[in-house]
Amino acid sequence: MDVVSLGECMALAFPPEPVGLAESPLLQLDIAGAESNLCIGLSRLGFRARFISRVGEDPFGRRIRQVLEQEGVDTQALITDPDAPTGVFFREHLPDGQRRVYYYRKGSAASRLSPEDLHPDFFRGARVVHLTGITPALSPSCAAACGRAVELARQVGAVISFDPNYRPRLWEPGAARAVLLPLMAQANILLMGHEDVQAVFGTENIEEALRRGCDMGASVVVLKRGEHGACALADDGTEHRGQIIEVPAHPPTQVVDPVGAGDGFDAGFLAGWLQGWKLEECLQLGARVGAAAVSVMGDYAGYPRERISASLPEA
Amino acid sequence: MSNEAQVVNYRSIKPASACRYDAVALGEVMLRLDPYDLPTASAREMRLFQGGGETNVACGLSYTFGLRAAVLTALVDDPIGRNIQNQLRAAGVDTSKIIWFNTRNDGSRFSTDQKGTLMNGINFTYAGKGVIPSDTLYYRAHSAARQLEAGDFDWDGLFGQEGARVFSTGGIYALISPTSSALALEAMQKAAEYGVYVAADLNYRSKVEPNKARAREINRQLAPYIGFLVGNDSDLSDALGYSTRPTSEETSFEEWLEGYQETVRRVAADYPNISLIGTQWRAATNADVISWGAVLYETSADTFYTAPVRRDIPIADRTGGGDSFASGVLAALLKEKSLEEAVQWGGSHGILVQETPGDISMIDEKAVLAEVKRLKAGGGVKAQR
Repeated sequence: MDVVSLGECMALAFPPEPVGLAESPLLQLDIAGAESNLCIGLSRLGFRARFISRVGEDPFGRRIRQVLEQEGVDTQALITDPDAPTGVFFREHLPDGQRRVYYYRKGSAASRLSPEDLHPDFFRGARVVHLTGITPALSPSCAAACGRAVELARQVGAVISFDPNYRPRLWEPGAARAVLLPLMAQANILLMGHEDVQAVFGTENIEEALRRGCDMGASVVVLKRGEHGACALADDGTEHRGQIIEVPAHPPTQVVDPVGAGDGFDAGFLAGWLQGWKLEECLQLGARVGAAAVSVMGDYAGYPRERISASLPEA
Repeated sequence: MSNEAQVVNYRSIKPASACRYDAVALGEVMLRLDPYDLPTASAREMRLFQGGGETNVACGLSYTFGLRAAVLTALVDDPIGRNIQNQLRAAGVDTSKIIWFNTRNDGSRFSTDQKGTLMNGINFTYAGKGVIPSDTLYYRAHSAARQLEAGDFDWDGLFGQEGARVFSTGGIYALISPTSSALALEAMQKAAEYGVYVAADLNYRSKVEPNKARAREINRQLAPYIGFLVGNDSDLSDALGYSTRPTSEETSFEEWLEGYQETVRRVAADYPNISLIGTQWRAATNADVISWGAVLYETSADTFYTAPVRRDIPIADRTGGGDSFASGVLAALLKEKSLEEAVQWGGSHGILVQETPGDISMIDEKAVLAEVKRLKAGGGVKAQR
């Protein structure tokens, strides 16, 4: 297995036109979740990705399993929970370009994910274990599952990749910091966005954010800057840190839907990293997958299908 | 029961001129996501409706029959809640009594966060097709409407000062939370106090309250305040504990009616406050074809009124048939029609809601009356020119 991730995948409902949810008579339906998006992105690039979670024994649970399997994501560790529903969320794309989400995920099957669900076999041979800061926000058992995933990753010698993915709707900045900082301290690769840096480090300064990430122990810290590109700082842990590497954004032909870009970036970056590419090349692929995501409606629909790696057998 | 004498009879419904509202309905309203003709798991697009057993009655009275109806419920103030409100407004329903939960988490009584700790009720309902049965997936376990409790509505203001002719609620809402039953009971007692006619559909949903003993205990507290009881024989058995004659898919309307008559006579003897008992009768050939009848029982005269059975009618969406039966009957009562007409209006409105998608009928009174006339004339459908 190249990458193992855990988190919540939900049914997503959104108006097909840029009108508010209050006015729309129709909604389109898809599935979405940061970690499952990442798994789909990596699978499309030819890597073996496993998604660990719980879904309800309901139409959306079936849908999630079916889409992930169709995308080539490993669902061996996806549990069907007969006692809780698959989470649902709504998103509206307003004419002013704003995106807002409304969570209907309380008590969802995925929020019941716990350390007991993480069988050591699921991590055997994993090269990267990727976590996001959304999962520990869902419930105490999910937070404990993240802790257990870190332990299991260490046991198998996997690299830990972490995206804080700060969601102001899920928690207060103080509570978020208390949970996210210890997890970030475990990460070998830190993938952060502008909002994450603000919430966690309280800074707008790029260099400061990258250095503080390295100070926490990460060997690579990446800052995703959307239309401004991306930058990274590597730290070999010995004499001195490398230069800050910057790449420009990969210009999308048009911006249709920015959601899913961050997860796509993570997938592209990790794909390059797994192939042993140079940091700059990893950033470039991340930026390209992110740009592809924003050109298309839907979180993962735009992710490129390019077999960078041959580790996933041809379907 | 001390309030027995005060429970209003259908003959003493207040005049329209004395009241701001013809009817107010207490219940939970959900956003319904309907996947057209694909089952929910594979649907890519869904259309939106709103519905809830109790509030569908208010919508029918308002949109179809032009009466002044309000819904009493709680919603979370997010765009899903506002979508529901917009649809209620489209049905002409007064939404000014809705209690809104803000999402500022400010610690006030009607407040929640943005994590979805409280939500608006939503459901995904596929209407079924042929041999595929209809299927509903509910997300209502954490709804705002469940949080409501006795004291949240100003009954003295609503029933005493503004005035309402009919109060309607039902067995789904009354059983949805420990506090909703107390709220429903409070509302019915206040209705009796202020001379408001009480209608209640004691339909039983095992998904809402799997424990029938608890359901019966609560419904038996409500029954002494009901003026118009809506319920089929399985409701009267599940919700109130009456033994009923066993029926099957093959039971004819006539055979079924004999058993039903026997049951409702016992109900009426136990609860002399109930002046009318009624229900729709439904036999399904498959998800698209049903036979449909209606019955109304006047308890004091021991008289049954029935609508002729409509046989093998193709339908679009079964949801809301019982609620529209109830609103048809209530509309006739509010418009001072005879009980003979009331059961016809109920049967007609009940089938018409099933001819169209969604939980409520978006048709006008003329269509209901035309359907009554069509049936009386022996059945055929003629083009209206």
